[in-house]
Amino acid sequence: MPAERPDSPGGDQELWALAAGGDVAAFGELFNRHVAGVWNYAYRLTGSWATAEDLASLTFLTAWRRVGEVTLVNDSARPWLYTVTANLARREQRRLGRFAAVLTRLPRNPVVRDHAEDVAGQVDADRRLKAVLDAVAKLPRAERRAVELCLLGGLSNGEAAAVLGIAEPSVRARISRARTRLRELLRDTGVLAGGDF
Amino acid sequence: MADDLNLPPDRPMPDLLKEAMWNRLAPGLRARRRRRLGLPLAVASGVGALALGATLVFSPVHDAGTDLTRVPAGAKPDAGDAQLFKACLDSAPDLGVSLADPDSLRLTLKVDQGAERSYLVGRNATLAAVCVLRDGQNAGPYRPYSGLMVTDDRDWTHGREGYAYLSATRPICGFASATNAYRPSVVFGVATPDVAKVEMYGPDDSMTPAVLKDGIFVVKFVEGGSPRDDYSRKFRVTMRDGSVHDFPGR
Repeated sequence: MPAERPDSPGGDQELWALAAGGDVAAFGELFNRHVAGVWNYAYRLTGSWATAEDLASLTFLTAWRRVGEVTLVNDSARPWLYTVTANLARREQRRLGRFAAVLTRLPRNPVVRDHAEDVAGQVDADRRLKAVLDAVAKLPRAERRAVELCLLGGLSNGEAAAVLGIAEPSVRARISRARTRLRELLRDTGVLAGGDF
Repeated sequence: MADDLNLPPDRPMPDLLKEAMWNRLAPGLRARRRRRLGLPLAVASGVGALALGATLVFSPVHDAGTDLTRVPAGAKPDAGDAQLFKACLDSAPDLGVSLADPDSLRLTLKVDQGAERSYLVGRNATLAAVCVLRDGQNAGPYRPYSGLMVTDDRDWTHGREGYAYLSATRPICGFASATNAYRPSVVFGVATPDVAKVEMYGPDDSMTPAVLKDGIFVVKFVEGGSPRDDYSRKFRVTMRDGSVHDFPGR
């Protein structure tokens, strides 16, 4: 794990600039700050912790390779990282189709076992998440991207607007339309909390 | 808002996993050539370029500089492999795969992917099939790390990858893959008899030749093996008449 920088700058933008100059320690600090969020986000996009691990790795590898080309428009690197994760997840889904379901059962890392997949309650959580992902996949593209960032990723409308390159009210409108569609799509699945979606 | 969807809550990331992930990343970071700070691009543009990474413009080709991208892909299967292949096909119903005529499938290639995982690839007149082996054994339907992927099976691929869907303008089709960052990855595909050679190109123009046999091609490569790897791929197909065609990787 990257060592914490004793003189760690406060903001992601400063770390990003240092990383762009080849500072591995600065990039390590960004990794420390965001890897757990990216990992959880990747799980919410794919429904698989094993795939999430790979996507998180690929996200940070992509970030390192593009850090010199990209200027953060948010104070936090997280929106940009999430957008990369979502792009990578879509690429994997397009390429693998349902074959991904097999890959998730294949061993990915001989060092780290996915402890959490042993938790009994996880089965139901996975089922609920897969139902949500199936419904999200049926949304129009523009709404789907807003949902991925805001509902699945927990970004604010403003953060999503910045990385999507659209106005914040447009994000709100897309989320609103998507919520209506999702309510319909998930009506009989038992996924909606208290039926009040 | 996400609470409405009743999504699973975030998990704390195990330190061991975090450490392992960083340890896999770190060698690649230190090996990277330092970039000069180039023209800053808007974030949306950078992400858009990533999404469009499958569309490549080829500059003069050079071979990959690292041996990792030139891993031999296929080997000739033996009698033991044939037995494993048959057992795998026989278990197709238990693996959730519908095979109309499993006895007509002939084993063509064996592919190793690292120490533990390997694949047996075969075909008949209409479809191709890949059996996933664990430690060299067909693990069966009730153990993890086994599986069977076939073309034209909507449950496992996209349903339009078999030989019937190939044509003069679409002489190859990749139908399954197993990818791992930094480690050997494999792409499986089908090809018409008119195809003489298949090569896969990475975004840095590195070339990895495919093993092509009996209408099946297999490419073994390492994702993330090149500093310029943005995980887009492209296939270059040389036909028997000498013509060359490029196809985006899926």
